[in-house]
Amino acid sequence: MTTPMLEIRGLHATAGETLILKGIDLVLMPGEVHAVMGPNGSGKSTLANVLAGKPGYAVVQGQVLYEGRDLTAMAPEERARAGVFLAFQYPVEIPGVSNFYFLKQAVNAVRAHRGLEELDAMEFLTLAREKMKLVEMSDKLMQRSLNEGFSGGEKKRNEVLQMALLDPKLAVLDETDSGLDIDALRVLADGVNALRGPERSMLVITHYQRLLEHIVPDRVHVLSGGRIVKSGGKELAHELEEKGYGWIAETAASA
Amino acid sequence: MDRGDGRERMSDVTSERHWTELFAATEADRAGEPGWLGSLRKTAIARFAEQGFPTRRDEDWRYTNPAPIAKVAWRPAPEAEVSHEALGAFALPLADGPCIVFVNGRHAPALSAADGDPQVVVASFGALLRGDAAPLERALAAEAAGADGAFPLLARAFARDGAWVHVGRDHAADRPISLVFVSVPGAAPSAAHPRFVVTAAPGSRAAVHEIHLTVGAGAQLSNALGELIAGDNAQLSHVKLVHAGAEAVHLAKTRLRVLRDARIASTLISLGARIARHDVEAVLEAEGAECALDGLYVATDGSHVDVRTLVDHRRPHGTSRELVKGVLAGKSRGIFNGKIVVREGAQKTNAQQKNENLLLTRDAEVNSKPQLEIEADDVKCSHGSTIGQLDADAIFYLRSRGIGEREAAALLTQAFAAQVVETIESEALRERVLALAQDRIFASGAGGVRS
Ligand SMILES: Nc1ncnc2c1ncn2[C@@H]1O[C@H](COP(=O)(O)OP(=O)(O)OP(=O)(O)O)[C@@H](O)[C@H]1O
Ligand SMILES: [Mg+2]
Repeated sequence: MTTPMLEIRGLHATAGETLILKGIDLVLMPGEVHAVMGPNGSGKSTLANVLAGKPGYAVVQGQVLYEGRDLTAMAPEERARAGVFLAFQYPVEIPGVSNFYFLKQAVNAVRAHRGLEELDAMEFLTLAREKMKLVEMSDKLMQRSLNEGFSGGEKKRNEVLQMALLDPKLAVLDETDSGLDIDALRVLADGVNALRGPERSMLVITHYQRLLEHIVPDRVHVLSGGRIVKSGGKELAHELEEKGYGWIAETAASA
Repeated sequence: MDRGDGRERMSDVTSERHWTELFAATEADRAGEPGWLGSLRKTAIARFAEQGFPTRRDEDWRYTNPAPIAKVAWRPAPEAEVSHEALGAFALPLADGPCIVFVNGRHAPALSAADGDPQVVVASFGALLRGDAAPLERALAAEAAGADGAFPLLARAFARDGAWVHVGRDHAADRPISLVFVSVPGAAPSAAHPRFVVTAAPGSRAAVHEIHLTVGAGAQLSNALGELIAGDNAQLSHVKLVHAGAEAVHLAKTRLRVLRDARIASTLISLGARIARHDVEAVLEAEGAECALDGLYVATDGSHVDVRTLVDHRRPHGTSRELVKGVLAGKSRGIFNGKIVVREGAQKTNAQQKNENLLLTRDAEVNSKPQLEIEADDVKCSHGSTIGQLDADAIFYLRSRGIGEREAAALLTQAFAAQVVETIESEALRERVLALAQDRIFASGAGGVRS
């Protein structure tokens, strides 16, 4: 039997002092794309942060296995090198560190872990140019400080560019579609779709069903109050869009 | 007086008497010197004896206790050899232009190199004394007219030699001029007094790299005294790099004199010494003078750094800009004291000052004190100071991309320091300074970066 890419069992997690995730079960097989939807504050980003290993978020019960290994025992950078990627809902601005230099360091850190040779500036530029086409990103963003003064859309492009460059096995996209107009959304969705493959799994967190028309998920999970209250096929996203989250709260209560 | 115990005796000689006795005892070493130099020295030691060492009660020494320095019976730094390899190990771009090296206060011709530009004189004081000493006499006499504290007075009294740089009128010196002062600690605590005078004649342009290094380990006091003068319309760029040993004490008084429509840009990079104290005085002496002071001080575990700057606007239409940044790691202490004086009549002065500090650990501490003294009414002055830590969200963002925790901290620290390091014109020196700074902060292991 194939090992799941990600296996979450009975996950309870705290953010700071507060228990936010109250029992999550989710199995993501290689090549699968699952969507996670849910109202504001339902714990979507908390789940993403727990998967990426953000300090301040602690697993208090249950387990998270990545390719059968205990993910929670790994430092954030080890997870990244092992192929876990989080596209941030709010990418951080870092003045004084050029985007180009940052991306090169990140790519080389991951390559070193995979036993590949370091890329020099020229080699990296060639690789970066190729991946930048995927998200229609302009050269000038490479020389700027990382995310500093980037528009919302530029930041999200930069996240997907990083995903393309780091070539992860498990990508978690936290509201990569929020704040984008429909054209930008299409570009990013095309970029993400181009990265779909039998070896890569994705967890796509979103508020909007419109993203899922472009990135068609294998399954949809609805998160509410720190629990997955409903799971289903892609049609669940439509149903949600029509009936709203109130409907979920009712079904969850009557279940 | 208890003479029975060695430690007691040590603190006995604290102080002023140790130095006045040492002055008398070393009289013979200075036998061949011209009379004018001897009397400059005598005046200095007499003034020193009269005013004595400062104490913590002096406002200027409130945060850096002078007692641990004053109570040591520093011996004159012994003659020492430094090989090309030992100097080369610092990988500094010393061969990019003329270079004059001093080891424990003595000129080391074998390590020095001229570059044949007749408009750029780079010589030791000793060489000048053997030839036409008149310009040196004028310069040192003028320098000595300034009122100064105990340590500069000791440098005037004891410095064995010094670096002399003169750039000819309207001449643009293409290559940076390196003044290198190497400390080689001996078995007992010893002191050397690096001295230099740099004069850029009217209309000239030059870049000077003042570099202080330690080769070997042990307690040594490097008590520097230097002056840079930019004549009318001249442009001087100055980098001071201190990369001293873990037991070293570096004290320095640096005076920048900026004349009419002249400009001095000075960048201080302080990467070490157990105690480092930099006292920079920039005097904008004539109309239209301009001065840029940039600084980066790094203090690692167990070290103490004190940067004091005085920007003295004496005439109208002067401009000064100052940005001094501190990176403090381990258990360390940083002090910044920045004073801007705008004298009566120095109208249309524009003076800006900023001090920013990055604390990498909980044990690091910083005191930042700006001071403005403004006696003119039509001026623009601003100052500000910040103390912060590495941004935890930024660290996590970098780590989530596979960059290790230490590398992430190093990258952010480098980004913080970059604004200052980038003011170094020489690319070779700039890159080396970045690497040396990173090594100092992160390779020691003593840095103890907060996680
Ligand atoms: N570090 C933290 N400390 C304390 N509480 C936190 C922390 N991070 C998140 N929370 C709380 O956890 C809950 C879930 O937040 P989370 O960001 O996971 O929601 P979300 O589903 O991503 O919401 P949104 O759709 O607005 O992005 C919220 O009540 C939030 O205030
Ligand atoms: Mg969220």
